[in-house]
Amino acid sequence: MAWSKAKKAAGKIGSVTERITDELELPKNVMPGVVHIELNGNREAVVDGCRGVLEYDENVIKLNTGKLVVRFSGSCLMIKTLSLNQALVCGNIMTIDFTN
Amino acid sequence: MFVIRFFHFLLGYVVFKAEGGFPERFINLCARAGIPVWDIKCRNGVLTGKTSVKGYRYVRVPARKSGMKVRVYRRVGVPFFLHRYRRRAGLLAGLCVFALFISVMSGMVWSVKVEGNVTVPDSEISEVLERLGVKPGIRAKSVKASEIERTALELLPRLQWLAVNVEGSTVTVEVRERVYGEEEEDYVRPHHIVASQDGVIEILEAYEGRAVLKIGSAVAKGDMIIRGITENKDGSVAFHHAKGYVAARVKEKLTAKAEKSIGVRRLTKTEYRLTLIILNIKIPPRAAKAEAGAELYESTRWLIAGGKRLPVGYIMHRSLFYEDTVRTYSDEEQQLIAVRNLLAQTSERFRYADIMSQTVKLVKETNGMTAIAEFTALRNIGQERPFSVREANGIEE
Repeated sequence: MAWSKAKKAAGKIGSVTERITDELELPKNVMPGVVHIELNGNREAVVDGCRGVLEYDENVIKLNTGKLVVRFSGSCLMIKTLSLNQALVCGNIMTIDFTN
Repeated sequence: MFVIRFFHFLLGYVVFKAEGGFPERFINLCARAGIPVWDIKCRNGVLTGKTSVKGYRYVRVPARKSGMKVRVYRRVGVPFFLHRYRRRAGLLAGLCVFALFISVMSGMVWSVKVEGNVTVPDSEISEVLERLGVKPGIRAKSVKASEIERTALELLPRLQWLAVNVEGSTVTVEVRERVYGEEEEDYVRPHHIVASQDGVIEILEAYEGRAVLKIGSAVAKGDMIIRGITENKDGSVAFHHAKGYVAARVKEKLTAKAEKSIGVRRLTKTEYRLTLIILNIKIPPRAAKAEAGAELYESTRWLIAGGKRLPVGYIMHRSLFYEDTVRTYSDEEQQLIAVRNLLAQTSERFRYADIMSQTVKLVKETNGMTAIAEFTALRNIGQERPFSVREANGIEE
């Protein structure tokens, strides 16, 4: 009860499906529409759930993942492969930002 | 990654450059249209990427929609290579022939190697194997190893074990030779020691049996020196395999003749002919025959690569033509020839003897020169001679 009160106090966090997943303690990646990013050091990032490229430069790559916009910044960046819902970003990744 | 790159190369791909317009929109449209685009780089507004041959046909639509101008930078891969040489039928035919050659030749026996033999020559084993069908030029799969092993061992009694191994294009035949036991001395039958030639005994050592002669005794060929029968104190006799060392001073005479003139053959002409061998096929197939008045010699050479004999070689046929002439020697030459012949005889005759003295003289004859040498030498003249015994009445035979 204390936990739900605290949650209510913190305000509404996430959608209904997100809350159900939280309650059932399911892994986050089973939720529909959740972006899955896999990093191999700072050289390679596999972005599952990519819906398009918003900005593309050798220093910045901005990807649309639906609810979030993922921004990779660094140097010598390139998209190794791009398909309908997956992108492979290679290069020297320095920062990853998420914006709504 | 290498495998992916190899497949891309095999299927062919186009490296393109796109500039102007909106690169991001272009990439998104490509992804949405299912056009495979990879290795996309964007530098100073110029987009470089790779796409498949089929994908490049469809890349123009997204390019037009995004306002980009696309141009081919490079075409890479097998389809472009083949397209470039499509009019060269010879190249294609060559490729086909090469592929066919490799596929056929890899299934054939190139060489037959024999290992492990010491006294039995390679040629003897190879000849038997050839009779059983194991030779260069046959299909490797047709070699029935166990059957060949069994039959070859029957045909080669000097071999104890034989194994036929087919390793790619080489047939390796491993053999082990039969080891025969040493012949045992005949200790069962009694022997005497007799003189093998006339002489005067200088050394006499009887190890077994009883010496019947003494040092200084003169012996003739066949005389008994050590007897293989001894008498016991009780009157009975014992038979032995007589053993001993008998060295005698012997006199020997050797003659060597040198003819004044002899018929010799002089080489007048040499002819060479080559026969090419490819996988046991001879080109030309007709076997070379010796021409009248000529001697034919053949030598076979094989091409070796990396220590392995290839099934390609040649036979060099050498025909030697001779002319019969008569050569006459001067007196000095006759002397030299006679002495040389005498020396050759001496070294052969007295190999196991000690020459004590010798005299040599040259006699001139009408048809040549003769060297006559007389030797006094110390030689082992003991010779074993078996004898049989009739036990019933004790009569020696």
